[in-house]
Amino acid sequence: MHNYSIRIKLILLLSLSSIVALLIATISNLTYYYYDDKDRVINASINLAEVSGKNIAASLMFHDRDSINTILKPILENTNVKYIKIYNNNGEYFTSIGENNNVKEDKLSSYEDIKVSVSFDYINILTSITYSNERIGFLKMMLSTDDVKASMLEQIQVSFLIMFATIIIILILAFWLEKIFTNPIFELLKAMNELKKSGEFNVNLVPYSKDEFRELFLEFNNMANEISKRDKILKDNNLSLEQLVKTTQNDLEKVSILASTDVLTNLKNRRYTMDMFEKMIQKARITESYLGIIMLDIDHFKSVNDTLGHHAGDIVIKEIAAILESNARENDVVGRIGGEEFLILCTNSDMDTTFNVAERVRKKIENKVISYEDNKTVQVTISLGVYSSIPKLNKEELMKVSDEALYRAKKSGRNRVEKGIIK
Amino acid sequence: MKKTILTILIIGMFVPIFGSNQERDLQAAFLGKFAKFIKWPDESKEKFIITLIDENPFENLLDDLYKDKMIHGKPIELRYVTKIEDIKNTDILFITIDNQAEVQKIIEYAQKNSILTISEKRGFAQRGGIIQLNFVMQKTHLVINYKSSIESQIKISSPLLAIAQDVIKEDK
Repeated sequence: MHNYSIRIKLILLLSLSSIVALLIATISNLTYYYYDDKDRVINASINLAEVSGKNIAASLMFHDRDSINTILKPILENTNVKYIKIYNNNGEYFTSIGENNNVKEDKLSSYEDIKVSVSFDYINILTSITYSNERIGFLKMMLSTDDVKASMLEQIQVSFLIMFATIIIILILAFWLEKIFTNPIFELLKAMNELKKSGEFNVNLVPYSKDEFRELFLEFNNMANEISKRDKILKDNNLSLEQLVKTTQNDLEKVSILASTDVLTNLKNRRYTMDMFEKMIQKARITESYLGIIMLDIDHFKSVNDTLGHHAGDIVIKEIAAILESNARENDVVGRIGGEEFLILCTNSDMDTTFNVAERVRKKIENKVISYEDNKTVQVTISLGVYSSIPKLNKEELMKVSDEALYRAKKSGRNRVEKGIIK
Repeated sequence: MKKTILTILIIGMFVPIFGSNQERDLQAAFLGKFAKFIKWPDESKEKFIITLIDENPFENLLDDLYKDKMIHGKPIELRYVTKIEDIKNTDILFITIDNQAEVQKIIEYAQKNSILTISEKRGFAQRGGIIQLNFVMQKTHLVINYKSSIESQIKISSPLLAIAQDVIKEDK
């Protein structure tokens, strides 16, 4: 039953309720009709017997069988009357008419004024015959119940015919009435499906009744509209969130850039340069390619600061940084790793290439006239230590080799490039 | 053969006698029963009188049947008379006289005095008697002179008229 649709359940509910009610009504009606008809036939039979008794009173009194037969004969026209027996006042058989097979001369065993016995096929009535309030004999009448049965059968046939027609009407009505209940439900389902497909919550179902379905429709509209409002708020919030994420990403990028950049020169700072150094060593080991290292330092930078001032020192550092940046290759990393110390990491760069890069940079800086105030210039030189290998040493060991080459360049008179040597 | 004829003759002699006795019994009983279907104009009389005029064919039968009995709530008195003067105040008069002139006188007297006349004589009702009671083939045969009963101011109820084989309503 749970597997059937609500439409089938409603049709079954309406039909079964009506059919059960109809059956009860029909059975009640037939039962009432049966008992009413039986009582009517019995009463009519008693009346017939009593009237017959009165009619033959004189005949019985004067022992006139012919008159009795003549008077009673028309009664036999009623085919239900099977026979009539007449007894005298002592209960002795006097005469009879009717079906001979059923008529036997006998003596009454009881002397009741009226006795009625009913079987399925016959009604037996015994009544006394009186005249002037004096009993003069008895009349016994046997009637067939054929008419009652035929009438009952006809009544049953008519009842079942009416019942059948009514059931057809009930079924039609049930199919019609179920739509009153299911149409609003299907309307709601349709609206829900459309809402699900479109994602558009601005629905407005128009109720076409004034019952609870109207409330349901209105509540559904309210609910959908409420969802629509919340959906809008949620979308707005999502947009804000996306904006926030984007801004945060930008900020993070900025922070990341700031975290990896030297503020003065815009070159990579020490921490970032060292991290990249580690990664480039790993990559070079994997790809078995050369990694060139150029470590450089501004010659006599302390005296620039001391004589020309920190402002001029900063300008010098910026200018040198700009030259380093512009002369490095795209994939090279240029970082400021100390006050006047810089490191250039060159990918896929053997010793000669690295050396050439270093030499080119040295010459550019040597020839660069740096203006630090109006009409005031300064020229500086740099010392460089270079080294290139398919890395087998670690970062610190490579730094040490480069640093030792730089030291030798300083020792050898500055403004020169020295190659690192592994001892 | 002779024995057979003799036997038939003997049976033939006894059957009418047997039938006659039975009819007498019924006649005696019917006299009282007729009263149930008759209404007399004077109901103030204290006794209900049944009179036999001339011969008494019933012997003690009527006495046995009607002694200490009541008709219409009145005690029954039986009278056995031979003269017309003695039938005064009678309610039912059973006539056995064969003389037709005598019978006619009695009928005329009875009509004037609202007496119900009954007889078994053939042609009794046609001559003005009210009830002629015969038995034919052991069955009751009633002839009622309704016209005579009206003239006698005696009312006969319809059930009795219904069982009469012949009801005389006009002069024949």
